[in-house]
Amino acid sequence: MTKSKKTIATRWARGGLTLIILALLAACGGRDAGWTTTHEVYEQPQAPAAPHAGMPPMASGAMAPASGANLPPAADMALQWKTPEGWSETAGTGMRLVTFSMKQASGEGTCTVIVLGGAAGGLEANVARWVGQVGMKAPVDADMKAFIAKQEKFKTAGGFEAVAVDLGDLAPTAAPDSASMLGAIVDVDGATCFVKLTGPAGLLKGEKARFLALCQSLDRKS
Amino acid sequence: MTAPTALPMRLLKLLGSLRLTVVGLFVLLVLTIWGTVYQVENGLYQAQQKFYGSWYFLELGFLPVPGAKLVMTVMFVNMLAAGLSLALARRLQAGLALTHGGLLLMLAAGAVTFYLGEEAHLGLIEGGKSNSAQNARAWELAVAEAPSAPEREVSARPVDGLAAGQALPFPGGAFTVQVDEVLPHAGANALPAGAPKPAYRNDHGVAEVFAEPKPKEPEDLRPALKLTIRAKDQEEKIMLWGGDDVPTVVEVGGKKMAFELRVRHIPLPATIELVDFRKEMHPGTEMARVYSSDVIVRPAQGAERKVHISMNKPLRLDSFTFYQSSYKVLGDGREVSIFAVVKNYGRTMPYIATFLTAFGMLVHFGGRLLLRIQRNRNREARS
Repeated sequence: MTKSKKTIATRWARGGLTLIILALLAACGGRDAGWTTTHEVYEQPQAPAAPHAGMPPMASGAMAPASGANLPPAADMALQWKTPEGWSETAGTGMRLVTFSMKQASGEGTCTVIVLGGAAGGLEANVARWVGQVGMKAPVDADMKAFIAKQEKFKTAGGFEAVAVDLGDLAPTAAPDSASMLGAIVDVDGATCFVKLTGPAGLLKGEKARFLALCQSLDRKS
Repeated sequence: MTAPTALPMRLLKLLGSLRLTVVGLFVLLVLTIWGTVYQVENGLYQAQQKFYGSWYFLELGFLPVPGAKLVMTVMFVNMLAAGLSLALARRLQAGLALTHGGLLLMLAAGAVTFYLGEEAHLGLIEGGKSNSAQNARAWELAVAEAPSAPEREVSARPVDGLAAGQALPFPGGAFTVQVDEVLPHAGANALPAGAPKPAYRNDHGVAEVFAEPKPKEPEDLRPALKLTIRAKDQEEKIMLWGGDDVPTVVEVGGKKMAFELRVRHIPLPATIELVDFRKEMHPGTEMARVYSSDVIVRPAQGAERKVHISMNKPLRLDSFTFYQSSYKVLGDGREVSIFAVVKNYGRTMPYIATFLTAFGMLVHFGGRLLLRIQRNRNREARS
């Protein structure tokens, strides 16, 4: 190899090596292992009628899961309930008051209790949304009204008006492993409490009585 | 050329082969189409992880398929080897060198974005402000003086990398945080009425945390930490869970310190305040046609400015780009404007790379064109 060729090759090799070392250093530098102290500014206007009780959270991750954004927390609704037998309870986060999970031979299900201020869209709009969430075909307007009219209406232990909706009624011939939902909308002193149990249709059939018992047990925290 | 240099040259030519480039480009094309179709059913994150963030993945459980990371690394080596072999053969002209440099820079930009870039969200109600965005895919242990205030000093460190037995001296040296247990994803049980106090205190009322299998989506992760806070003549055990609504407060050195597990907060170069959020609906529907936000950008130093951010007009601030991503209506009717915040140190690299590549091609092909014109003229002059 001639001297000029060697010089060019050496320059290229040096340049390439430097690039690789710089990239490695930068990659290692991105993984900070120590404490980082920052001056944080975080302020969101509070809802006029529903100030959050207790100590304000630190713009917490608890607010993020629903959308990944730092949404403001829901009002503390101070509800209590009776956990159905065989269900395991997990403490809630943000707008979610509590999560239950259950398991049977027919599959696993998850039940959540969420509270939003106001009417939160109303019964029909929410049922239409739920129908979409489990991949069912939404009934036409008149059929939707008839479907809702057939659903179970009751008062909970706290005297709250509630409607329980079984989306399984829309697809009575569906396979036991197809996705379905039991939902309840409870009017809690002007706010709306959503109780949703999702899982395979077979599981929901077996869990319906326990789901209704949970909804009926909703009461103000004593 | 002597025998010892022949083998490296042959290897260099093999690595820099044009066939390898064509195969690489074809595999990238297939991965892009496949990933786009896969995304419809499985979501953007899963598609990104499987096709673009992996070295390889197994299809049908046994068939290895190269991921975009591997293909782009091979193409980087291919481009480098091609340039080197041309240089060693003294055939690397200025135009070709520029084009190769541009393409290498483009691939390097991909690596910089992949390893150093970060995606986050910022949600603001009208009148709300923040100087940090949240990355819901990563968690951090945050400590600040209690009670919480709109402006305060927060010390944080990533949960990734924490291990049982680690002792973390807190900045200022007032106390040390001893890590007793780390659960990457955990469920929690509440403290039943009348039950004895658990060994590790939690102000949200969590009595115990237990390991759970990691969820499919990283946004659903809820880690848990058991910590011992050690100060002079003082020791307190606390338990933090990703689902806690309130931090756990410990009094150390005469100060009340709030400990919390939260999604990673990425400091922004300015405080962003939402002045006005607007949306236009498609006629007769509840589907948004256009939405946009007016924000005030207040940098730590320098004058504040008002900026309009819409779906196709992002705000660019140092290495950050703010896209109008979506919005949410709260139960009380207030609207939350949500921005996707992308931190990318290599943001300008693709522009420079494209310019270099285009300029290199112009120099190369322009030079050849001029040479041909000159030859034609010479031929005409001779005849």
